[in-house]
Amino acid sequence: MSDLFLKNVCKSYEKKQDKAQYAVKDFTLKIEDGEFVIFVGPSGCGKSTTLRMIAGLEDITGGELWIDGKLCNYVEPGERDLSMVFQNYALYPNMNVYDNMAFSLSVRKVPKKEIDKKVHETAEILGLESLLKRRPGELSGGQKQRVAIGSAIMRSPKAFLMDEPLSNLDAKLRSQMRVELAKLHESLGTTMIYVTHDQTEAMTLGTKIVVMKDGIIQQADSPKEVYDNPANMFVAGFIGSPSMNFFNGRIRTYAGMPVFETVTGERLEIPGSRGKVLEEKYRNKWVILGIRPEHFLTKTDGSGSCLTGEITAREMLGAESIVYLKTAAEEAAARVPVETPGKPGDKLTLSADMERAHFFDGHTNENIFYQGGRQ
Amino acid sequence: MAEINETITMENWQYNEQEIKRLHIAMNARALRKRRIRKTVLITLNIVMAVFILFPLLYTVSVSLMPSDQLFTMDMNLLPKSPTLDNYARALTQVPLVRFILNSFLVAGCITLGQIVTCSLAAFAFSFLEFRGKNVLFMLVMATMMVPGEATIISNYLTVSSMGLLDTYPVLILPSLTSAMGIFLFRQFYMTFPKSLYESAKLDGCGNLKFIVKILIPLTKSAIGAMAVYTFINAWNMYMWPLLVTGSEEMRTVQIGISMLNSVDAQSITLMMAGVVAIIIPSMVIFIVGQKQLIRGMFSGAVKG
Ligand SMILES: Nc1ncnc2c1ncn2[C@@H]1O[C@H](COP(=O)(O)OP(=O)(O)OP(=O)(O)O)[C@@H](O)[C@H]1O
Ligand SMILES: [Mg+2]
Repeated sequence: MSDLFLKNVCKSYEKKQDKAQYAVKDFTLKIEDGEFVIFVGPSGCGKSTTLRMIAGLEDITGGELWIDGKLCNYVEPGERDLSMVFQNYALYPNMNVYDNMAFSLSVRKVPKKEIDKKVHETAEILGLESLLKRRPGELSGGQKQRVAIGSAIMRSPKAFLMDEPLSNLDAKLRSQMRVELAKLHESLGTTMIYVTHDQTEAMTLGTKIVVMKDGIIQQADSPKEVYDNPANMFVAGFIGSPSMNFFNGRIRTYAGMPVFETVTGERLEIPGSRGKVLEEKYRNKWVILGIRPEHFLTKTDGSGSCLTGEITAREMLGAESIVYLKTAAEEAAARVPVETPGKPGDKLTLSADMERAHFFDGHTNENIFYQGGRQ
Repeated sequence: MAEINETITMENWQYNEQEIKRLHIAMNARALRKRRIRKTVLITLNIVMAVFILFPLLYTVSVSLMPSDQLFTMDMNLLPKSPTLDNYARALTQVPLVRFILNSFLVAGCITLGQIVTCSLAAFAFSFLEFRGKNVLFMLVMATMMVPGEATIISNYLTVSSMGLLDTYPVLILPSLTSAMGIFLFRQFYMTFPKSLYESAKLDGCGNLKFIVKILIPLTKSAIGAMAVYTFINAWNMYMWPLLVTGSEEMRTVQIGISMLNSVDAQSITLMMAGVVAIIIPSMVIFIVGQKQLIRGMFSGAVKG
């Protein structure tokens, strides 16, 4: 248990420094003891690289890594006292489950009795007692994953690092393991750093989500903050499924009210103080309006924020449906109650909940109303 | 058989229990017979091929059992008319064949052991460790494979003779203690080894040597077995080098000893064949033992997680 501090960490795989291309750039993050930190981002954005630098499997090109107030840039991986769960489990195929779990302790010359006790304790937590004599080749994917997690928690490390540990599992098992991981974090209270590109995992497990793009942190905050208050268009579009709808347009004044006017001339009223601010600062300037699919309302009481479009597709999710609309300006997805009438080809009018809409600067793509950055 | 299929018609989804049982038995018998025929054909073919390929070897064994006068006739005599072990007895007494075999065993054994240790360690460095000039170094090792052995044999000879090693065991063993081929083979094998296992072991606090002993070796048994068999047979069959550096009879290896049989008694082909058969046996035993090891190795590799 411990806290980690990464300060301006950079990674370049290029040998020559002059034409350095950074896989990770200026990564600054403070991880408190007991936090469950999630790295998310599109493929190739440097999540694994960052994790492997923390583990010591990759050299740190620039910046500092502090673990428990100790500079750890040059400490051997075995001495950092972190443990890692790999995507492909990395169990030793020549040893049975018991030996796999015992390995890290036996390398450290822990007495046999102690190891034995620990293995059985851990196996009980993870429901592996009946499998202790088996080889990894004789286990199912989920069981292997549990063994891998078991081996990781055996020596009570300072922190767990997990690189997409659930991505090899099927959907059902994944959600099951997700719950188990959450429970495990609760009971152990150890710091966890977890890489995924699964949004559900990120939102449900994390106490802090770090959204990355091209090796740069876009936003690091609690799941709720990242969802409700995204720092920029990338974060807004990346978090949430289906992703946020974006409309290009301009801020204008119409009938004395600040409105957002799309390129095709539909007008959406912007209520409250945000409208005032926008009117002041962004009048006639390009902005991007972002509305999450769940922030469309089916009741259209003639308010000034309606969008009409033709339904192109409709997905049933059980309790609700997702309709894809082709409005004059853009394609949009909306999450609506199942009872909502309409099939592909029909027209549907929805009103946007403008209180919860997001506005992004047309040039920088930053959230105009972004508050903070708590880090 | 065809009529059996037609005896049952499933009218209104009703059929006779006994009939269906009979049908099962009949079909089963037919499948069984088919399988048996296929197996017989395959085995026969295999035997024919084996006899064809092994013919020189079998003929050698046969000749080694003939009295020497029976060999030189105009008749076709594939099999000895009066088989005798006389040749073997003479081969063993005329030259110290047992000593030769022991020498060869010692030399080949040491070479095999040495090559496995040096090659696997070098290959480990080339595939798992990161260091400056790794690729250049590996290229250099590979380049040595392109130099023919004949080109270096003289300078090697001069080196060992200046070291005063001539006519000893070390001179037979030392030059073959490592091989570029072995390094290459092991490296190729290690390249397919999941890197995350190595990284995982590193995070577990396991050093390189421990990793090799506890994880790499158990998992690469099949490679080691293949390499051992290959190296041992190569070393067993060495000819030029032992001929060059050994002078005394006690230091001779079998391959040279056999040719001594020929020069002692120029006529005795049968005697030489007996010698050849005697020295084939150890390498065959090694192969058979090694093969078992090979199969076991393959099984242990099959459980990759
Ligand atoms: N060994 C390497 N040598 C050179 N470049 C590398 C190496 N490993 C990763 N990279 C590059 O670094 C960047 C970040 O890679 P990284 O593996 O961290 O991505 P990631 O975020 O984990 O992606 P994914 O979600 O696909 O696993 C990528 O552009 C990748 O091409
Ligand atoms: Mg990755």
